[in-house]
Amino acid sequence: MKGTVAILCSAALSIAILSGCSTTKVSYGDASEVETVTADFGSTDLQQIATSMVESLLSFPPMVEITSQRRPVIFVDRIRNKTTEHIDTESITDTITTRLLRSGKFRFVDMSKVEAVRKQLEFQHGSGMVNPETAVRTGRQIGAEYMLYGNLSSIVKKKGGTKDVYYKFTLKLMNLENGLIEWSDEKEIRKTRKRSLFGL
Amino acid sequence: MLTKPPKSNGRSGIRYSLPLLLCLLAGCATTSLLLPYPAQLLPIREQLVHGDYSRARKQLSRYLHSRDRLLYRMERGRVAQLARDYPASIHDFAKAIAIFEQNEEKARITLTGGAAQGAALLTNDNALPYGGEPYERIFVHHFQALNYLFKGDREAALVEVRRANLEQKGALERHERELAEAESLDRERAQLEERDAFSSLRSAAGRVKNAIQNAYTFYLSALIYESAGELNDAYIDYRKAWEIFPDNPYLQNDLLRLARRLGFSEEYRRLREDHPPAEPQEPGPDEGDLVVLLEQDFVPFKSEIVVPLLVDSHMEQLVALPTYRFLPHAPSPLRISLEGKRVGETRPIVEVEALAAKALEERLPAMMARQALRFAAKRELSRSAGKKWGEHAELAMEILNLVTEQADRRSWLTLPRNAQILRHALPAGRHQLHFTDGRGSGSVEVEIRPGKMTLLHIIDTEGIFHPDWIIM
Repeated sequence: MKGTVAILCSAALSIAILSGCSTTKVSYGDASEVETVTADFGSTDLQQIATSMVESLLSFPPMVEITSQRRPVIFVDRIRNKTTEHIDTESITDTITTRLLRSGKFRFVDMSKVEAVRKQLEFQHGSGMVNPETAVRTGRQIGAEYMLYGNLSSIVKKKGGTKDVYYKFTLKLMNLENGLIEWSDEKEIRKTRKRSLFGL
Repeated sequence: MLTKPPKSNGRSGIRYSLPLLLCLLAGCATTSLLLPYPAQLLPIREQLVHGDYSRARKQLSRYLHSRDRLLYRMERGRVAQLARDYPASIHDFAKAIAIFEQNEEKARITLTGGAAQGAALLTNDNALPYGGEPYERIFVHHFQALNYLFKGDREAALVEVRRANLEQKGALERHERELAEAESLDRERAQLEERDAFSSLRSAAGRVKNAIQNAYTFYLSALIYESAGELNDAYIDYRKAWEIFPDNPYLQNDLLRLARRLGFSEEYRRLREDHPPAEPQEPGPDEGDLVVLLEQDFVPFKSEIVVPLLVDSHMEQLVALPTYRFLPHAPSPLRISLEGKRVGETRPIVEVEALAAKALEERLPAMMARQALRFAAKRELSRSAGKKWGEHAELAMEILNLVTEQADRRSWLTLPRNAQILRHALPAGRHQLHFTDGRGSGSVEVEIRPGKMTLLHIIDTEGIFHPDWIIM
């Protein structure tokens, strides 16, 4: 018993001393580096999803045919988050949109900015402060032909020290004129976290 | 050599442990190590009843960096919710959730954890960082879902109820394994069952099947799903809630209503057989549903009892253990009326006090085993003090041991004592609702929209009401 007490006490003291030594460090890293800090949804998952979706959409034969003559106009609806984490799904669609746009094959309208645009147009035409010759003309915006939407769901299992997370991201492209789904794909991600036995 | 350890060993033990013990005591005088947690929290609860939220918040803020930060985060998050300061409440609960998750991801054996265990061995269980009970964690997610709902973010609210449901499932599995492991603590369990001192704890704990499952959380989750038009998901959660708490008439009505609407005719028939009374009620075309979620009073606190405990095979020693000593308490229903006409009264859906009692009852055998170990460690320490510094030191150590012999009385104390629900269709428009629970009364103006659900959340602290509502 005495021995145990002595060991416990000295362990406690050494921790108290050790904990004072750690200093904060900041460093830059590669944004595309594989990140496995926790099993939660992270940057690597986001990048994997965006890459796989963009590649799939751009290489889908009917899409290749449509985009060979013109650049269809798409609007992005939201991605529904059906997981058990607070995930910024807008950030996933932003990445996908940016990559599609930069491929030069698609054009986008941004529905989240309609209100701001309307305000600006009202100001240009109704305030009397803008030279009517330079004011942009109204009623000439282009209607979207396609809608991009989808959802992100997850299944989480925990047992003992192991946590297993399965994510499924589904994205669909709907033709707004006839309601047909022109393209759809899904990306699955599985992550497992095991708790270590020893640590600080 | 083996039978009689060298003396120097004992000396080194005392050399390290005495200063350490003093350090520990000095550092912790302000937290629960010496001052029992309820003594700290009861004045704060008193302030909450009188609406003095900012003072309560300020007092709790002092301990946010203590060992028990999880506990103080939960308390402060709830205080902010009572004050209807949703962003502040979301912040605190998010921190609490992060601590729960960190604890879960930590290595199973850690140096710091070992040090706390050592300190706990020399003083009492209060030296261990507060880790929270599963039922508390479920309530954190539950309250967080309410916060997001009142902020108008239904998707985030759904994330929280999914987390709560995942936790209910996971905790139940974990719990069954732990119960199997605790089988070996026969001697402790037998003592727990025999002693009269634990009789009120046993009777309160006997009211629930386990210390985890909570119908109120499933009900909230079903409401959110239903308002989002996801009737199938809603049905599943109404059903889970009903399995845990079958006697609530509003819950029965919701379950029947959805079974009929979804065309689950077989299920509907079977449910009608179980609950013959009423045909399920649906709101009319110009009506909307009023849903009342009432959270009543505060959960009881743990008290300390000193009981003789078998520490060796035949030696009994007085030790301090936590228990619940409250009188059985029937929830007081809230009667709601509109322009003098009775709308209905709330009916219970969860008794948090029973969950808390059950959780403690299940933990007690392990606590008793730890107490026996602690007794041996303390006895050893005072003996070696006596050998090294004489009788006075031994006496001082004995006194120190007596002072540090404190039961772990920590638990989340701003949780409600029970929760109740009511659901009733009302004509569309703005209505002044009056309500009373027999101790106090209040009123609130709510808006009902046709085909929509108006959620009225009332926190009732001993007859003083803190209502807020939202159209879902």
